[in-house]
Amino acid sequence: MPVKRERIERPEFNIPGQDAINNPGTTVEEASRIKKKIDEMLKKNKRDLKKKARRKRRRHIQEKGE
Amino acid sequence: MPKESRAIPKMCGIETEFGIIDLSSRASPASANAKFIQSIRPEWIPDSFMIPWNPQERLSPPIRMGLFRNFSEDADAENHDFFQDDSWRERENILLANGARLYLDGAHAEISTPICSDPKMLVTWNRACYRIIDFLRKKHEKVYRKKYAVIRNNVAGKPRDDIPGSGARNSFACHENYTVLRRISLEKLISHAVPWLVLRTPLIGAGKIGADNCTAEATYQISQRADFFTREWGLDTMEDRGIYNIRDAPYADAERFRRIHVIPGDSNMLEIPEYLKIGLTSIFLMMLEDGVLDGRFALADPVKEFWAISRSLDMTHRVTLRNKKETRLTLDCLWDYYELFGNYLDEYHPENEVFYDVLAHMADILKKLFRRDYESLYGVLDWPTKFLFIQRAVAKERGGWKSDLALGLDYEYHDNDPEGVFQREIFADNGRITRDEDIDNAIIIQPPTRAHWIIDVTRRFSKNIACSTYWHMISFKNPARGVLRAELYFQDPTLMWNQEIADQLLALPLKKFLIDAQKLLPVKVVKFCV
Repeated sequence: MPVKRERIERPEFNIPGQDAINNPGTTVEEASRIKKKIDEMLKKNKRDLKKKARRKRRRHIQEKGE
Repeated sequence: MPKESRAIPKMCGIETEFGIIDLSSRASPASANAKFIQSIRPEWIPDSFMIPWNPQERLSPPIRMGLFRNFSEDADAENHDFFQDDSWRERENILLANGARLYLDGAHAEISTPICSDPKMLVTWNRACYRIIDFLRKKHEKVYRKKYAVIRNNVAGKPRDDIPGSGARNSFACHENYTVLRRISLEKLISHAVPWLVLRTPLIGAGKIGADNCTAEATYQISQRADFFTREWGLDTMEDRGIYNIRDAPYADAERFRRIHVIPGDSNMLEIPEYLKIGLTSIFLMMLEDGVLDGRFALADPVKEFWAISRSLDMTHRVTLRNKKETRLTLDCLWDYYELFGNYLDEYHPENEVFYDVLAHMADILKKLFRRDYESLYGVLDWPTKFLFIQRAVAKERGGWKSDLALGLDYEYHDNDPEGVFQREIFADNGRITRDEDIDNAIIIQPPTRAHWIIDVTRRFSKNIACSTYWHMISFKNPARGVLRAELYFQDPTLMWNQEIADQLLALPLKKFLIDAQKLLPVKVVKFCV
C-alpha cells in the first residue's frame, strides 16, 4: 500500500521580531514550560550535576582518535 | 505505478568512539581506554568471540591500486598505531553476540554496530551497543573496583583561554557507513555528497561550547565536528580531514559495491537526530543511484560553509553556491532537499513506511527551525536541548558560558550512563523512536542481515574449527595443524537472513557446508591446500 504523504507548504522564515536564538519564535507558553522544566531538573539535581560536571570537565582529556 | 528503482537497499552501520575517563586513578586517557577493553573477561559476555581482526582491511582499493597519487597507504598508516607493527594480532577484538564489534582503535574504545538494513533497525542496534558498553562499565566497577565515566561525544581537552579557538582540544568520531553501487563514480559521489553532509548540520548536530582548530571564536555551535574539517575530500581521519572521506574498504565484492565512510557527523544522545542522519542520507544515496539528483546544491567553499552553518544558531546564514551568483538560507536548501526526497519516494518507493516516517520527522523539525522555535525542539534535537539547558543552568553563574560549570555540562550531557542526569531526565522519555524491549533484544540477537549469517556460521563451526572473522569473511583453520584451510566470503552486503536456508546449511559438516553455501547463497569460498 502506498504511504500517503501530507503536502506541506514551505514555511516562512522571516517572522518579525525573531532574529536570534535568544529571541526565538516559540510561543510564550512553550518557552515558559521548558524553562520551568529545566529549572525543576536543575533544582532536583543541582549538587549531582555541579559535582559530576566539573569533575568530568577536569578529567575529559582524550587523545585524537578515529 | 511506481518507477523501477535501480538503487540497492541502503545497508548501514555506525562506529562510535568513546572517551573513557578513569575516575578512580590518575590513569592517562589512552591507558584508561586500553585498560577498559583489555580487562574485559570473556565470561562477562557469553556467546561472544575474542578474535584477531586484520586492520589492513581498512585500506581502500583505489589507494592500493595507486589511483590517488596524492595519498599513499602511509597516510593512514602514520595516523594509526595499528599499522606500526604486528601487535594488532594480540589486541582484543570482540565479536559480540549481536554481530557488533568491540575493540580498541588506537587510543579509544570503539564499538561498531552490525550491518543493518534500515534506519530504525540501526538506531535500535546502536542503542543496544551503548547499553553493552554500560553493562561492561558496571562489570569493571564490580569486579575491579574501578570507576569509569564513558563519554559519548566528539571533542575533549581543555580549550586555552589565552588563545581563542586554539587547537588544544582533540576530536574523535562517530562514523556512519553506507553501501552504494560501485558504478557511481567517486567524482559524482564527492560532488553531491559534500553539500548534503554540510547542509544537514542543523538537523543532526550535537552542539558544543567553543571553537577549535584555530577557527573563528564561537560561544556555542551546532556541530561538534565542523571545526576539525579542513578540506573537501581526503583520506586522513585524524588530521586535515576531508568532508568526504575516500576510505573505501567495501567489505564486499569490490567490483560491485562501495562502502561510503561518512566522518563529519556527531555522536547523538537523542534518537531522532540519529534516525534522521541515517534515514535521510540513505534516501539521498538511493537518489544518487537512481540518477535523480542534480548539482544545484554545489557549494563555493564547503569547508567555510560547514564552519559558518555550525555557528549560525539563528539560522540566518546564507550559503554561497558554486555558481557564485546566488546565496541561499541553509533552511531553504534543506526544504528543497525535503521536497526532492518526498517526490523521489512518491515516484520510486511509495510503500517504504520507514523512509516516509523519517521524512515526516524532517518536515516537523524544519518547520520549527524556520520559526526558530527552539524550545519545541528541546528533547528532539541535541544542539537546542543542550543549548537551552546550559543557558538556563549558567544564567546566574559567574563566567557564564566560559564557566567551569558550563564546560562541565557540555561533557556531562554525553555521559553514557543511563543513571546520569541527562539520560534519566531527558533521553529516557524524549525524542525516542525505539522501544526499550527492542533494544534489550538487540543486545543478544543479530539483525536479520549478513551479520546474522556471520554470527551463526561462526558459532556453528567455532567449537571444532579455529575461526577468525571480519565483517564479510570467515576463515577456517585446521585445528590440528593450525594452518588456513578455507575462507568464506559473503560478497553481497545486501544479503538478508533466511531461516529455511540456514536450517539446511548449518546442519551440514564444514566441507559439505562450504560446497552447498556456494549454491544457495551469494558467497565465495577460497580453498587452501593443507
